[in-house]
Amino acid sequence: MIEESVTVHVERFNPELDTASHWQTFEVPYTQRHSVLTLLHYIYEQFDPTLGYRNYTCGRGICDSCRVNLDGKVRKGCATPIAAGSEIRLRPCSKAVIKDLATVLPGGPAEPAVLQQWMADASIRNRVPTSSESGDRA
Amino acid sequence: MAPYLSVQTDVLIIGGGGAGVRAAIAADDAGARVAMLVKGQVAHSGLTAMACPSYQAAAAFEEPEDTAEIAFADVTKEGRYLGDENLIKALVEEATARALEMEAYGVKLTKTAEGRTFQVIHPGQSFARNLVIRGCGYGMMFGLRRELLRRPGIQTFEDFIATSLLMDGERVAGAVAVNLRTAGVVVFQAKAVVIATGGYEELMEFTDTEPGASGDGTALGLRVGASMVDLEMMLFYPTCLVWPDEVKGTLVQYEGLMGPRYLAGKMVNGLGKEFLPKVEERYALPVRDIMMKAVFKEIDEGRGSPHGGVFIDLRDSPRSQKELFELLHTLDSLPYTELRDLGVDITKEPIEVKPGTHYCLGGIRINERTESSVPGLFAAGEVSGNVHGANRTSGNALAETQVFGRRAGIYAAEYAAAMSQPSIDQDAVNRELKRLDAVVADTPGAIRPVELRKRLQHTMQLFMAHRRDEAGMTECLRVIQQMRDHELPLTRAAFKPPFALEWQDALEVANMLDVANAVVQSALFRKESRGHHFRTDFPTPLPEWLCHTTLRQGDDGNVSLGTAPVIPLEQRAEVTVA
Repeated sequence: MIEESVTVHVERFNPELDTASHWQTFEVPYTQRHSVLTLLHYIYEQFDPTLGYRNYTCGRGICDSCRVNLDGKVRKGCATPIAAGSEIRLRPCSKAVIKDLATVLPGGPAEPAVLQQWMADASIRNRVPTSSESGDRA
Repeated sequence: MAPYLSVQTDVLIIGGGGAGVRAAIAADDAGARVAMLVKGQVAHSGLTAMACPSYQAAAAFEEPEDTAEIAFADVTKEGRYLGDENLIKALVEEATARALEMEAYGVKLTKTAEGRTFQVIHPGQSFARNLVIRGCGYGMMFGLRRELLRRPGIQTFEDFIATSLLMDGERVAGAVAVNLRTAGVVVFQAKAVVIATGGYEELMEFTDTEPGASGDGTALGLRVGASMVDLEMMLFYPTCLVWPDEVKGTLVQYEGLMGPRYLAGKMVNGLGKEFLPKVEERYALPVRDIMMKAVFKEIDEGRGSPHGGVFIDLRDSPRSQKELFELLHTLDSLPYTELRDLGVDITKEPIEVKPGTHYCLGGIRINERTESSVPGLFAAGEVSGNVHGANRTSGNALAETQVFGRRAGIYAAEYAAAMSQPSIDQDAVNRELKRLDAVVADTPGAIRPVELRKRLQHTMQLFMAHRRDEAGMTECLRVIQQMRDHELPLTRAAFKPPFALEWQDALEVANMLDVANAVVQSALFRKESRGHHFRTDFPTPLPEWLCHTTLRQGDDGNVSLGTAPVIPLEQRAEVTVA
């Protein structure tokens, strides 16, 4: 029996390192039924620990934290089933990208001024570890 | 320049769910400077936002006979007499006022056709007592967030995880936190700290909660020696979906689906036979600790459904199809449309469910002022441990967030107003910065955080679910201690800022291991069965164990255990160290 899978193209973008986004493709085996969110869990756990997405879920299709652009339409990731053999393209649901598919969802409180001011100093915006053994596993 | 941002505040609130936001509002009302940390975004993360729509309040809107006194009697009894009565009194007496405040903030409560606030009866309640929040927990958080946005004085730090508490001698002095969006570190200097982080359901494999429930606040409390109480009491909700995979673990409310006043469905095992024990007529259905055992028994003894659960079946319901749809809409018992889109229509076919870990009854020991045993450290909501007892009736978790969230905000602000700014222990900050750096590396042979997390969950599910015994728990403890002492130090995250989920995973699994150790030790210590703590080697409740299990973690990471009496009504709570 040939193992079925889902082909998932994910738009990757790390605003700290990349000047433009790029697409990355994952083949997720269809060992269980999948939603968009369970596919992302699988990719994070099995293929790429650097994937950015919001992993919270109410499982009821209401909390909206898994909102994602699926083939051009904004969908709720937890409640959208993906059939075996599908090929899908996932993009962030808005332009407020933190990384990859993780965005700042609108309507919440503003970032505190003290934090904004501090982050404006680009030299300390990202405290990249200085440890000599640190590196990029991907 | 320091490699972190320093923020001074009066009250630091860790957690931005129902209890955290309510504490922020109350502390803001009291004139305190407030900073609140949220691991995700307000209303889109946390346990409240993912909750079902029930909020318990003896408001007597539906049945005028109901009173707070009757609710008090119900809650103490169903908690198997392990809840502190001064806290239960506060809960039942204040829940209604807090619900009406939420409504004023913008939370929508379901109304009847006549415009009266609607209440439903759930098992363990003498009268219809649960308000039904439109939009479930998300709707509640959405309304609370509206009030939060009206208060520009509250500094909300979203996508922040608090990684350790700072101390000034015996007193709490603030916290170190990490911005998950940028990996930047913020050191908060605070006169009072409120922990409102929710529970530690993530210790188990099968839960109906979200992945953020990693017991962060419990671990923060453990590491500063706060007294813990009844940590072994992890509540199973009897009916969570086991199928389809996409929504596995989602809670469906059996109270609405099976309640004779509502959808009146029935529960059958894999052989199509009804099996639930008979209960008092007014309750109609068993409460959670009884029901979860009955369901597990069918599954364990080979009478389960194809996907390892039991069935809820509406096909023989006396309700018409139209009535079923109306009730499903009004009660929000399950995500009908989402399930139908996944190919499961509950009005046409049975659904498969089994018990899942849902709520942590134990936690940080508090008094009526929500003070912990550590000066300046307060706790509210699920992270606190002595409100409900050994079992919790439906709707009291959301009520707890509001009643004790408000109390925490008031008393933390009061404490802060009376105290000077504590000093920050620079050595402790430096040690924490070093720890945060050390979890990030691409070392050969490193253990991935998610791998350790999954193994811990598997071990806990195997030995710490509904059937516990000395031998199993001893083995569980051995595995946890092996992970904590030998594998955690080898666990590394591949790091790529920003939004490094794996870094978060690494910090969370360190918290989970501390909490798991404390939970298993507490469970081994309590040599009886009560509520959701069921030991096959001590299968009944024992009078000598009608007391709290207390636990305190020392500086060396080892724990000391003890007991404390349940606080009877009207006695002043004295929080003492175990």
